Amino acid sequence: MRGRKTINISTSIYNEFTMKKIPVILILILTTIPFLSNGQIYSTTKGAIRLEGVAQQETIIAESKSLEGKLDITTRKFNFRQSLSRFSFSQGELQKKDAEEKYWEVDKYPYATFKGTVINEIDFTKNGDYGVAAKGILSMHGVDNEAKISLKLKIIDGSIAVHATYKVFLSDYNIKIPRLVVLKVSEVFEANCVFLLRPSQSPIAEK
Amino acid sequence: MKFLVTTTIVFVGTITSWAQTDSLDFGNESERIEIRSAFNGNTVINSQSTNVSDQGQLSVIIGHRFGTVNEGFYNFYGLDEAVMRMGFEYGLYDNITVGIGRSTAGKNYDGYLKYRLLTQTKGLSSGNVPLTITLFASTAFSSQRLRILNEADDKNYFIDNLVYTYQTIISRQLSSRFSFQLNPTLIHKNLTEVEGQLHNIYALGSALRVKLKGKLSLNVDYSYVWNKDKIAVNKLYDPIGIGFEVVTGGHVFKLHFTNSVGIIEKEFLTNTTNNFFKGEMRFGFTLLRSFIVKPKVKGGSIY
Repeated sequence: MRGRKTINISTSIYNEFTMKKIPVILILILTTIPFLSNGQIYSTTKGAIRLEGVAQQETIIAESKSLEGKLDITTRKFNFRQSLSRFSFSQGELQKKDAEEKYWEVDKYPYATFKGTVINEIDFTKNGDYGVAAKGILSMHGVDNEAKISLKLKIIDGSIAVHATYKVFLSDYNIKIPRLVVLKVSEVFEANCVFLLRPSQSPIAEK
Repeated sequence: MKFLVTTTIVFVGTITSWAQTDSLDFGNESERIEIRSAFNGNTVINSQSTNVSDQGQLSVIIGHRFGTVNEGFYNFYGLDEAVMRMGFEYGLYDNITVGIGRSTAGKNYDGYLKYRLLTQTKGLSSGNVPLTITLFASTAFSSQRLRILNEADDKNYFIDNLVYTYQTIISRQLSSRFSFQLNPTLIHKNLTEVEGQLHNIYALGSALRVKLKGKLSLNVDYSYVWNKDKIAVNKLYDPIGIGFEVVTGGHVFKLHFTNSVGIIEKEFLTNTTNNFFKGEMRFGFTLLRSFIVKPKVKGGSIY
């Protein structure tokens, strides 16, 4: 519609030579839009995550610094992903292997993902501290569950520092604890995430 | 003209919308995953595995071998007599492990060093490392024999009594269920028991692990000794082992039948006098418990 109008106006004012150039200009303008929208994607590939499960007889801690995430600050949509085979465990390699093979089933479900929207309408370009909530689908172990996570944001000159805490109940994700280790593996794990989102110019520059 | 403009808008519009929905997705890029344990524990049954301890991980390894099964009911199928080895292993770095041990058979002391040269990886579409290679060197001596020699000659035979073992251990995990390995071995004895015996013994160990269900796997271990001593008092056989293992978050339990008495290379490769196929097999088990002395991830605890 916009294009048609432009032509109507232009026929009355400009000569034929400029009129021919309009589609070219339009193409130029429109093709820049995807790149502009890419500039509004904030991302991280090195987010820190720490899982803590306190059971009666044992405390299990797992840490990773490979949380990947993307946030579109205009639509406030985000997508986060954590590879489950990149955790280090407090009790070392045997515990890691145990978790990957018997609880997470990493071969079948390699990632835990969280995809959704930031509910609060905030300006991500303005410096300051914010407390916001994010709502979305948390998927793990082949199970999708709706989750609402409260986040603390600190925005400093175009980079967003995020801290989030969330409690994951293993039963929600169809992860069964064998009766033998019921006192050693907690039913609920607290996930603490800290990461810094920075604008990503192009998909290539991210890595 | 109008047609051109509209098509451009539609065309560019689709590109834009496609780019926007795609921008939050992750690429399907594969990631490199190290296979740090093709086998469970530091040994398969008799042979060393390619596994090394993590940095700061201390493993306590208790191995038991009972008497031969064909001793019958009077000896409770061998369970009346037991030979054991107590061992400790510590990961200095992620790929360097040191270990010490003491066996009751021959009152042997042994110390070893394991270095993982190469670690198998998976996950990448191309450029995966296909094998894990670990170098193993051990020194062992029998304090029982040392004492006999020293008392007979009134001279210290400590250096002469040492036996060195060198191995290159090559393993590959074919799938999450199936792993195998080869251990080309050289054993050097400074002083042989009888004159004319061989100083260098060559062997090729092989082992495989099949994961059966959950925590349970089946292990088979066989070593072929190239130059068995002809002069030895008893006929020598190749060590064979077959058994099951159960793995939990901090333990490895191995239950097996083998024809060797000793648990260290020097013993089972050069001193196995039982014929596995004539029922001269022994029940045995190995228990490994790992403790994290210097945790990489702090805050965890076990009671």
